[in-house]
Parts: sequence; C-alpha cells; structure tokens
Amino acid sequence: MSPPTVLRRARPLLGTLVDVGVVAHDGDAAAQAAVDAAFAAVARVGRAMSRQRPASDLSRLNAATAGTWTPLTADTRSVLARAAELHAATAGAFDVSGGTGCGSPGFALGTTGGWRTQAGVVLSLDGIAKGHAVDCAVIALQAHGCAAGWVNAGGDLRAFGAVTVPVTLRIGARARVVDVHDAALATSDFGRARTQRGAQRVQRRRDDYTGATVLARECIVADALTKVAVRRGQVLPAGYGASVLWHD
Amino acid sequence: MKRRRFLSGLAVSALVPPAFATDYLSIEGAQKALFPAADRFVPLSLARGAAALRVPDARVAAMHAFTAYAGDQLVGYVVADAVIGKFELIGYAVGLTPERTINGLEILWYRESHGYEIRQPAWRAQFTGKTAASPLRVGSDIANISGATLSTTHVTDGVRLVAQLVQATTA
Repeated sequence: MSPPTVLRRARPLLGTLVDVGVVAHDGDAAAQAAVDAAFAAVARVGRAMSRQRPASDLSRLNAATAGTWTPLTADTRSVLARAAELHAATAGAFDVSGGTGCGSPGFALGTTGGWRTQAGVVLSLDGIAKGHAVDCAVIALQAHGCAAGWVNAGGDLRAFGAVTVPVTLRIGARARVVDVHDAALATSDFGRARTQRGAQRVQRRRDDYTGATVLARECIVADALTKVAVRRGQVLPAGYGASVLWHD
Repeated sequence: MKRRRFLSGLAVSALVPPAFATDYLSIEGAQKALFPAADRFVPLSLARGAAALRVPDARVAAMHAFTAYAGDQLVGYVVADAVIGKFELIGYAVGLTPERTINGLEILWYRESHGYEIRQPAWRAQFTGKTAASPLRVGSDIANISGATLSTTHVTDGVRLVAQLVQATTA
C-alpha cells in the first residue's frame, strides 16, 4: 500500500477559514467524499445557528414571543441541550443568554423545538456552535471511514486517530505549541480581539493573563469552557476530560 | 504572484517555516475539484467584464479565469483569485455553472504575511528547526493558530466580484 498522505482542504465557512484534513492513501475518492461531507456538516450547523440569517433556528427562536414554541432542527436542539447542561455544570458561568436569562439558561426544550422562557432573553450560540460544527464534521469524516484526521474552524480544532496537530497559541509576541492528539482544543483570548494598543490596556488591567485555551474530548465542550476559563478562578467541571492552559 | 504546487501534508510540515502558510490546492487541482467531468480548461479573458464594470485592470490582472469543457460541451467557469485581508493573503478559486451561478469555492492557499507577530523576527525565530515527528505531524500553520480570529469577509467580497465579472464577460 502507498504511504499515507494528507488530503487537506479549506473553505470559508462560519465567517472563518475551516480547514479539514484526513490521512488517506493516494487517489482515495472516499477521502474526498468524506471531506466534502465534513464541510457540508459545518455549513449545515452554520445555517441553523447564524444570527445574521433571519430564517435560522436561532433568529426565529429570538424573534418568537417568549413562551411560544419554535420548531428547531436536531442540531440546534442538541446545542441548546448541551448549553443547558454546561450552564448547570458551571453554576451559570457558561450562559448563552449573556445574562438576559437572569440566572436561568433562558430557554426550554421540547422534543422537536423550544422556546425562550422570558421576554428580554437574547440567545447567542457564538460561544458553542462552532465547537458543535467541528464535532459534527469529525463525525462525518468517521462515518465515511476516515481513521485519522482533523477539523479546524478558525482555532476551534479537533483531531482524531493517529495524527498529531501542533497548535500554536499566540501569547502576545510569544508562541507556545500544544500537540493535539485525539482531543479538541479551543481558545478564548480576549486581548487578541482588540487593537494592539487596546490589548496592552487589557493586559495592564489584568496583568496576569490574556486568555485561556481548553483541551477536552469534544470540541463543543472545549469551545464552551474557554468562555468559563477566561474568568479567573472559575473551576472547570469534572467529567469532560477538560484541562485549561492559561495564557500568561 | 508565486504559487506553489500542492504538496502533501507531510511535505508541508517538513518544508514550511511556520510563518503560517498553507497550500491546499493548485489552480489545476481546483479545476479538477470544481469540475471533475471537464477535460479542458481554456483561458478566458475577463477584460470585457472589467471594462463594463469599470474594475481596475490591476485587480483583474491577478485573476486566472478559465472556461471548462467536457468534450465540446461548456460545463462552467473557474476563476482563481487572491484577496488581501487584514493580516493575510488568501488564494481561492470559484466555480460557476454555464448559467453563471456559483457552484463551488475552494481555498487554494493561505499566507499570513503582514500580521503584527509575523513581522517580529523573534516570533519567526522560535519556529526554526522544528521537524516532523509522531505518527503524522501536521505543519504549524493557520490551522494551528489558536486565538487569532481569521475573517473571510474579503473572500466573500472577492467571490461576488468574480461572479459579476464572469457574468459581464460572457453574457
């Protein structure tokens, strides 16, 4: 058999560059089909959970009167269920309502849909949907028979099988490399989102760290828990195989 | 602009000093991926569309446009282009049907060329001498930058321009 190579593609999805790689053998048509399926999974999650698309599950849920049932796709119900679970597991620190649920998750779920529990609740899945999209893409690759590969949606990454992906974390002008093997990784680095001058301001104010990276088994968990981890002192819940790296 | 041929991931990890650059597909590779049934890609000048839309020559000069044929049958168009983002250059290729609707988009390559850290010699120096190891090790690159949000807004804008140019050229 020919030595394994990497089939690697990227497409602009979820507002960022989504990079998919699988370990394959030469001329492997199944690997190409697997990569296409992975991108399709990411696109599907993006359509369901976009805040910009008025017809997305999320937009319809936010637009519906509180207490009114809204039909939701399985993806969105799954993400909201995980959001509620992580809200409970982190004592409310992970909150897709951004505080508008006043301590509650802000929504409730039925078997085929859900509703906002109070008027004034605004849900955003920005802190979790990308991780779910990565997990869905990995499942798609595995369902197509891929034994090893990775999916990276602009820094939310999951690798599986016999592949190691060195991830470079930017910590100011320094770099730190973390090897990701059969795990997921996500970063929340609020200093980076600002201008350089702004970043310095933030750094001075919180001079011991500028962000956090979380490793976990699932990308949805890594993605969600980075938002928890950047709050210094917030302990990560047990049972997710999650660990945190402080950027300091 | 210099374009590198597609290299396998293994080769990339060994060769690319991680100033964060990744090659995904060559133009030829993208032609095949976008129109697997086509057997001929004939260069297409977008000058007519550029004149009609008053797009500067320099902008169109960076594009590589082709008409795709399967035998004598026109099956679509492929346009390769590059856009400059805030900190990065992204090469991409768009496939359009004979009716000029977009039927595919592939990223060809990515270079982080002028980001803040990238300009710092100290940042670049810390990667030199790193080699491949473990069952399979993927090169340090965009993927592997965590915490830097990469926007693909410029790609979206570029795709829109490409579609308009092909429409105005071939209609």
